[in-house]
Amino acid sequence: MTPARATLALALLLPGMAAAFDPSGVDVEVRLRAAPEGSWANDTSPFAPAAALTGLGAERGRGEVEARLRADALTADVAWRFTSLQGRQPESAAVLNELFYDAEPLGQHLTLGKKVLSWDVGYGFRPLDVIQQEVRRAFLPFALEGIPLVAWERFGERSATTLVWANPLRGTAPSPRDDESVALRHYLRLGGLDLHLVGRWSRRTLGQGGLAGAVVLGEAVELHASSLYQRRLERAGDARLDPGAPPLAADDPARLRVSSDAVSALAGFTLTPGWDLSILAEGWIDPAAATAAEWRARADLARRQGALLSDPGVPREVVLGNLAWGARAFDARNLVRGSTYLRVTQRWDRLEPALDLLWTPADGGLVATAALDWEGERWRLGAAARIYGGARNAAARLLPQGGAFTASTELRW
Amino acid sequence: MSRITALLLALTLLPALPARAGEVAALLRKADAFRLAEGNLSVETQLETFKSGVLDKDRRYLVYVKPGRRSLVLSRSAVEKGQKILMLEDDFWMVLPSSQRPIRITPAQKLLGDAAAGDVATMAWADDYGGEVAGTDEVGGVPCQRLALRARRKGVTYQRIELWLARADAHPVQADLYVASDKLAKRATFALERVEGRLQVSTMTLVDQIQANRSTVIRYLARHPRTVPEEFFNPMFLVRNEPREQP
Repeated sequence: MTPARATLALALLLPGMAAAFDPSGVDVEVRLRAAPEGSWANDTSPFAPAAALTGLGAERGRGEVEARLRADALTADVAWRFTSLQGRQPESAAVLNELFYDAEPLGQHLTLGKKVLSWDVGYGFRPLDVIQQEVRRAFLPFALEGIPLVAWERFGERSATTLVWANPLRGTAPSPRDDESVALRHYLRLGGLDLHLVGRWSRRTLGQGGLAGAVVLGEAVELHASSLYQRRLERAGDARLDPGAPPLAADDPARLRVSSDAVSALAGFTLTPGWDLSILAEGWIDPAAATAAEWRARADLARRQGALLSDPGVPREVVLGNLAWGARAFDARNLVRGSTYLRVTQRWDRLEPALDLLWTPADGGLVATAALDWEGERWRLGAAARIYGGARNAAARLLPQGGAFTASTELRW
Repeated sequence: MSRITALLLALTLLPALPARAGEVAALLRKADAFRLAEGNLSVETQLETFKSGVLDKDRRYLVYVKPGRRSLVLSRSAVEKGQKILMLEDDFWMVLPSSQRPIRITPAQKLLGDAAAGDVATMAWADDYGGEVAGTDEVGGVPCQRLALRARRKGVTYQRIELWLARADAHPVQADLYVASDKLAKRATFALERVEGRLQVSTMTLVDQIQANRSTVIRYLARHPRTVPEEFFNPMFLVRNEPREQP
């Protein structure tokens, strides 16, 4: 948020804040989290020589102090975050995750400020999160940072409507979370079925529309599915992958690839057969992600670039820089277009072991995570380890890190 | 027994059956009145979990109850701050502060952990169970009627209950709570206190019959007549802002 916009937001919020302030009704919650992290390298990755430039596998820890304050209709969530990368100075930043005022003039529900918006019913992938998008692969993701918005809501007995003006007056921006847009979500409870209809329009991405549903069958089965149609789909491309293009670029080779009429979809279920056991399985298609063929092409390109490292006529920095540009493909929300996800957890009193498997059938990639959490009254301790593997040219196998591990501590008061 | 005798016996007994069912419903309504006054309520609840007699967890909840099997459980403890469970008839949602969205949960997920959300939020049997008077017993020196109850709908926490009600006034004395597999999960006992001139259940103690040495004590700290807006019981409203008790 620019200083001018922050000032405007504060000017709009201050009257509400003053009216809302009642010391007896102030509710404060503080959470402190710290997680040292380590990883081991995947020397077989063609991107490995540039690992130090990309930061992939260099995470050595992250931490966050988050304070959430609520005074009647006013909510604020601020965080101080730090990250540590190998070979670099630790970085820290203060982030205003949320600051919003829930006003109710004339029986209407209005929200003004910065707020987290989560609209989808899925876990591994969330097509209907058309504005807010979560980072799904982080071991210990930071608290979500909200979207500047003005929202109007209406609640019926079995329905709810939310109309959002996101990033007001901001104009177009590359990321949906920063792009000015108008979005509508309508919720219906049809018998035991939760139905969500979502639409979004922005000058940049034009129209999007989607549908999601969730239902519980019997005592132990929950089903959910969602799908989103996008009139204009933007994908990350690479000019060096164009036919006949040279393997090394002098300038940033990132190219925006635009296509029309794309559909993303997710379906999954949760099974709770008893014994405090929970099984979540999902499958999804993300047309913004790369195909297995594109990953093969990226791997081939990286190998050709790597071969140039032994060529004395080619500056090493140029090759490493080009490899690092290519490695930005790992920042994608989904690495591969089709994914399947399985999560099994079981609660043993205060202990909760969990196993996560992400398998991408098209390229044979696999990401496996095992975690163990212990939850006390105020403390939560955790440990997790993750391995990336699969077929030779699978996206997960091409990562310059072979795996990672972490131990986390969380204190709440 | 000849067919004619059996038919005559059946014809003699049949008219009695609805009366027995009606009697059970009336008894359950009387028993419910000791746990929950009719209408809209807010109930402040403390839940203590013990392991081998040692206090393990202490949780506070605020529960809003509306007619029509609707309840909203708001966690008030630091460890579960911001967590909400909404129960609308047979459908359930959970909101976790980290996700900011209502998640559909199965009835089995209500049972996660030592304390079932249903134990905290469900305070009436008459709507959910039907059955028969199965006999008389004395429990803790109190002469009781024993009711054999079965769930009349899906989504209830316990599929079968054996309930002992005092013969004198039908206040609940003891209940054996069975899960879907017909396994005895918990035995509940009830303590009563006179509050504002009215005898009410003040404490429900649940002794775990599956995990040895585990028990849970649910104390009803305060009950207030409260009519909260209908919106509080809309799953989408829960992420708007934490509902506050309205005077």
